[in-house]
Amino acid sequence: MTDLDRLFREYHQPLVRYLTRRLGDRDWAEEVAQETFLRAVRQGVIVSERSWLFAVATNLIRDEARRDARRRKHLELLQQQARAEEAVEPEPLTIERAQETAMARRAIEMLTERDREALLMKEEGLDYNEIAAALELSVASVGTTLARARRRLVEAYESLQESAAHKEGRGSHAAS
Amino acid sequence: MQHLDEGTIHAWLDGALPPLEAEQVAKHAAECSTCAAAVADARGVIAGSARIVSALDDIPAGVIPGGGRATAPVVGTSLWRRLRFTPGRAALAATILLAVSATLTLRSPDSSSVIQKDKAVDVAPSKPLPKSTPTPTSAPVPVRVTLDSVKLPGPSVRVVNAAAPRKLEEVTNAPQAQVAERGRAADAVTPRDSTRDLQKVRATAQAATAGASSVAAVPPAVSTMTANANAPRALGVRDSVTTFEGCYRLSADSSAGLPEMPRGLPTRFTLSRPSTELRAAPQRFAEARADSVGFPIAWQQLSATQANVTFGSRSARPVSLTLTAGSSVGVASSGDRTSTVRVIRSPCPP
Repeated sequence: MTDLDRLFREYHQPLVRYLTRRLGDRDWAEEVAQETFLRAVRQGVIVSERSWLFAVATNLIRDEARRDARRRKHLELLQQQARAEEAVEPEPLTIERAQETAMARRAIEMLTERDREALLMKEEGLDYNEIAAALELSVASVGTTLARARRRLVEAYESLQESAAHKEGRGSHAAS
Repeated sequence: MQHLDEGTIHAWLDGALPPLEAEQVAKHAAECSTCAAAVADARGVIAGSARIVSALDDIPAGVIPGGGRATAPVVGTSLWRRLRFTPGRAALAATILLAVSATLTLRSPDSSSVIQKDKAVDVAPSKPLPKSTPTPTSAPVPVRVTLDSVKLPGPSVRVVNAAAPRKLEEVTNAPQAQVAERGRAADAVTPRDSTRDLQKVRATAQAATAGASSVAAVPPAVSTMTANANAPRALGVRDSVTTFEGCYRLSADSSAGLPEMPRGLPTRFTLSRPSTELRAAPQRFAEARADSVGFPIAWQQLSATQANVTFGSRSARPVSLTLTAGSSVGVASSGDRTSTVRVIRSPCPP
């Protein structure tokens, strides 16, 4: 089995999941993952494979995010349009789940980049040393970063839930 | 010992503290009610954030076309799924396969011979046919191709620019005619030196033989439609072939002054990939469901960016609906009447 085979088998799935969560776009995530693996092959010897792969993938999407802000904006518009269309003919369960996902995405986007990446890496099973290496943090600060990220995420999500409930209440009040 | 700070508590709960420090933290948390409450709170925060993060795995579908399923799980995806094999790609691969076969046939010096039925042919482009190999003349003779010997540029192979990962050139971002042209010149193309790419190519070629028959057989209601190879590509879709599999909802195109849906169309329907069973049935290309009884439907991917769905009706003429990549407006036609309808790709119900 070649190095590429092994790397791919071992890390492709968590890397794509991390990137999908980070980007909200599975295809894009797969492309970034593919590029990451290609770079790993070119790199040759890698000491800490998992943190290296996650660091490279993270850097790739950072660079790309700068270049591609316009495209993402357009995608968001399309998604909003689709959601608006869905609201015309509600499908309770599906919409509820879609709203939850959209809210989770908005909440995660409210974190700082570093907090978000540390949290998503932790959720992918990277340990503190690996997160520190990937994000160029000190190991001692990873706990603080994660604590802050988690708390802010939960708070942001709760706040979004509250405002959504408030809007719904206002809507039903206006309707009556 | 001072009260535990939040970072230390999280590190402890994450099992990231050295044993000695972890022991001290555990002892302190057991003795200090304030810190015990902070630990309980941190546990709740960790669980809550994990749940929120996992909610990100459900990716809602946008508009036509999605690059994949609306809520495609990352875990446990098959190789076929990872390769994003679609009927359209199968069609492209089949086109290339046929083009290569035709090229090899025409290039053969001995055009008077006829290939024997069921004789396996190695169509590896780098390996010219021996002069003694018989080749067909004009009549289409059934040929069995040994897939393992096929070396083709797969339709989903991409060229990646290392410096700019998002600027991916797609080898097959071209109309099918160009793809066929490329197929004719396939003997000049060598596959990339990559195990995965080779697997992709082989997998796609294998799929092509299975999909070719279903793609080639076009039902009467669909056969009149013309593929628009120059249709604009959808934003955000980097596949050369759009995946039209998924769930859709239809509504009246009020922006075009059409307050009502065209007759004969359901409000929602589902398109899924061709199955082995359906392949055997010439009039059905894929599993397709609509919301109402009385909507037998068939669908076919016409090109990289267009698909056609035909809705049957007992009381009226069949209605043909053309879906175009990147557009949320579909064109419905029945007989000589044509109108537009809003098409929204929606998440499939679980």
